[in-house]
Amino acid sequence: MIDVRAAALATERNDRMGEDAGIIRAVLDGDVDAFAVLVRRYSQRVFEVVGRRVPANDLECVAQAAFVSAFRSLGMYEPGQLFEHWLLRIARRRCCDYWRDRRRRHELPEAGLSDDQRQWLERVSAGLRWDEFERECQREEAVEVVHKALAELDPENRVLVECIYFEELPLKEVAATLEWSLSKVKVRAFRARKKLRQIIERLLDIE
Amino acid sequence: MKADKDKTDRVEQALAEAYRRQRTYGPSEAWHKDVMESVRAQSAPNTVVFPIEARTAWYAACTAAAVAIVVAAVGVLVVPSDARLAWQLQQDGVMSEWVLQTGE
Repeated sequence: MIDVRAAALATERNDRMGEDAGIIRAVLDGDVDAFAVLVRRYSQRVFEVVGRRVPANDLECVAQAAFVSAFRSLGMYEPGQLFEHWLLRIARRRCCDYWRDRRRRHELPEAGLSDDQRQWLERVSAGLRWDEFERECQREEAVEVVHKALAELDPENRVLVECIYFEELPLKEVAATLEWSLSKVKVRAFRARKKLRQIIERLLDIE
Repeated sequence: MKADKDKTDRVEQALAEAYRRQRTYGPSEAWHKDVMESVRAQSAPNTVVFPIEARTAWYAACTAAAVAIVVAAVGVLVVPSDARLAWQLQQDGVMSEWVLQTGE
């Protein structure tokens, strides 16, 4: 049963790859409007990835920048890989650029926590049953604290924490996203997590 | 100490879970139009010619630098120093012959 499902998925993947490669060839041959098919096909995925990383009011802008970058670099796309993976890497890089730019302009969220956010931290750190824990993780304060903690990391460390520890992406994918070697990703990911834990300790007032 | 570590672990897990559960909204029709407008405003996509040329130029530069380093290293090893050259001349008796010939 699993084999049948895996075979069906592989066929679907190959069909999609062939279809995308055809569209890309058409775009490279000058049919720019064919790119609209790719935008429509993958915009939802790009919104999901970018929407987790940047504030809602900048989501559309960063997602658009990702598609424009993909269009400009289309000649460098290697047909052997899934277009979706290639596009999402570009989207993650644009998010990293977004935070780099905000950091350069000193436009980062305020570091301090509100009373609600502090209470949320106290509740989750106290140890909850799974159902309570799940409910707490869906609260608005949860997302606010996540973004406050991430804002204290530099953009590269932020990408590492988001991709490796939060989204659990394969290290190879992260290395391709950041255009780093696998060993560099491993070393930097370890340090990035350490920094995140230091931030959490500070938020919890642990000396 | 152990209690603090547990607290940090729980918060870290909660942050990861909250990150994954974030709600995001989808693209609108107007957004699709805007993207295609921006795309049309771009020049044609970069073709693969530039990276290949750049890569070839980079490899050529690296090879030239490596050759220069090897030649310099061989030169330093093969060409004798002034002191060694003087010692060699003395050993060969060339210097004494020259002194005898010139009368100096």
